[in-house]
Amino acid sequence: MKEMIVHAFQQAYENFTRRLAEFLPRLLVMLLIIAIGALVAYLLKNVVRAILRIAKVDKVSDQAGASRLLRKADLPAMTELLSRAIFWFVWLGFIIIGVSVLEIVSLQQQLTSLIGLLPQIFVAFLILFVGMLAANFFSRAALLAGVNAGLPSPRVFSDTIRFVIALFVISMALEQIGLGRETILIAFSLIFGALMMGLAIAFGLGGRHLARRILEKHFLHHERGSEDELSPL
Amino acid sequence: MNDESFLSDDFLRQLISVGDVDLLVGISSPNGQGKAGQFVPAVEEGLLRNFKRERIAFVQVETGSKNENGRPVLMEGAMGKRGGIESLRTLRWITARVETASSPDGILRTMLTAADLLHAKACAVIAPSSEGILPARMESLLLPVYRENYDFVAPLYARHKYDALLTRNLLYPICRTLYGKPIRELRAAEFGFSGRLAAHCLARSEWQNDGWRGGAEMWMAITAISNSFRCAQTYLGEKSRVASNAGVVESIRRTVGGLFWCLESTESFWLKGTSAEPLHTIGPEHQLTTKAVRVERKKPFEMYRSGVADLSQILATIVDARTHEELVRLASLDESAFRLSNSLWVRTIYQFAVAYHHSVINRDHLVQAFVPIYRGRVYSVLAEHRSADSEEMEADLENLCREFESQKDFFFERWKTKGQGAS
Repeated sequence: MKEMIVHAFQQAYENFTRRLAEFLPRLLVMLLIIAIGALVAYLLKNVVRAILRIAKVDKVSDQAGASRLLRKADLPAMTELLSRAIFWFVWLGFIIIGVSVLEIVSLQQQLTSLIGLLPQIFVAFLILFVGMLAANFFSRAALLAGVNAGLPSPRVFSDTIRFVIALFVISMALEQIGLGRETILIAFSLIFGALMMGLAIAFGLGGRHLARRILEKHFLHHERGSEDELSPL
Repeated sequence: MNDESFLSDDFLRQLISVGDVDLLVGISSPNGQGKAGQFVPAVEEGLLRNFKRERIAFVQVETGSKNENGRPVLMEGAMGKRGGIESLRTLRWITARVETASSPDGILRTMLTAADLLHAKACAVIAPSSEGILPARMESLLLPVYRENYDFVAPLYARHKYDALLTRNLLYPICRTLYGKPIRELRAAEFGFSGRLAAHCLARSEWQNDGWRGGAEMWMAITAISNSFRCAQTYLGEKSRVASNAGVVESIRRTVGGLFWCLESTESFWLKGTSAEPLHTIGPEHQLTTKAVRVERKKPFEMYRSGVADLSQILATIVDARTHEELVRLASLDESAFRLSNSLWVRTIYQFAVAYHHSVINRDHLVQAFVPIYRGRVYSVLAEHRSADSEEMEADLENLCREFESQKDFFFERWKTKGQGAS
């Protein structure tokens, strides 16, 4: 009995040491790949950062209003953000390669599905970012046009444009990652339809006088012409 | 010449058939106002008095939709004899058509190209007024170029004290302070120029740029100053009061946007700190009329108030905290207490120019955000100078120019500091 137990322990120990002997080199290879990956990612990050600085991406981002959005979201400047993203993408790639060396089937499957989703997540973020820039740009353009034309409540006009574009962009981004596709489509259609119907009813019932004033102001302005505003030149 | 491809083959053919000329008169005819030949008597009368021995070509550039056959019209001078004076040379008249939607500066570019191809020595651009073409204006613009070798001759008009407020409150002081030339009408539809200047301007690459869209005349004036061409200004009489066809917002987009763009492209010239020099002026140096006119006073004030309130967030990214605070405080005052002082006006303009240079926000948006500030200044000028005579107006303009001068160092410092917005 005692011998059997000792034998079992010995076998278990031998199995353990054999598996450890098999696993340890793989672990070391994985760690090495991850370490090399970190180094490559760090170098690439610096190269990309330098290129983006030369290309004055931060200036372009300022002009487009993206920097303000990033500041609002407590994110770093565009150059830093993109170079950090490159670092993580590259490093993540190396981590995945490293983990595959371990040959753990379930972990590999999880990682494969994550890899499959990564491009979609990236595209969704890109859609979200570009869309928010567009929302910001067009709402500011609408605000300036409304203010300079003397329209009543130009901010409401501008905020509505921002809201509609944001709604559209978010639904596109969610659809990209395949999150509740049908639910999103129905929700978007309902919200958008309700919004438009609400605006139409509100304008038709409550804003008749406002509509008349706007139309009168617009057309009478042209009739009165030069008396309204002095020529600046 | 830089690029002839924007000209039609027909127009080029007509120019070649004319040969070399001594004088060229360009007549801008927006939206087809005035048909070819309608101005012939007045134009010929104006030229035959002084230039009956010179070879002269007229280029009338029309904008808008195409005429029936879409071709330029070339015709001989109608008679070559006006008011008892007979021309010894042939007068040629060419009409070209430009699509301004794709190229708002196409009119001037067409005239410059014509001047260059015809080797004209002196040229004048004339804008027909409501009374048609005033013959005396052509000699006033051409003579200094042809006989006294000036390269650029700006017009000088007698204006009503409430007219051209952007010109008097921004363009003139900036031109005097930064470029050292007290040109009263920096952005004018009428001016004279030499063939040398035309060739110089045509060879520049700026025509491909969108930054000064619609402000080619001002750019040409600034190019002449910053490249040491000989400049003068000449009195052309009274300028009739007209409403701006483009509207205030569009005028400001073109003028202020164009000016800021020119400041950026000529910074190596004015950052040296050019001091104001006297400018050769033919005729009176300034003339303002003060007759009573009906002016909408309340509207600019209301638009300033609502504009500053609605654009507060945008303005805060353009001007510094102190200026922003003052602009917002002014918006809370009532009409009688509201005054946008020279000091605040100048500081705001300089900060807008700096913000434009550093591209703090989209440049077109930035220029549009200036519109409420301009309206506030208009109200302030109207309220302050209700009973002012021309001497008082001139004295105030002098004070404004001094204010621009006194804040120049602050402006230079901000301009040179990269990455500085509304700090």
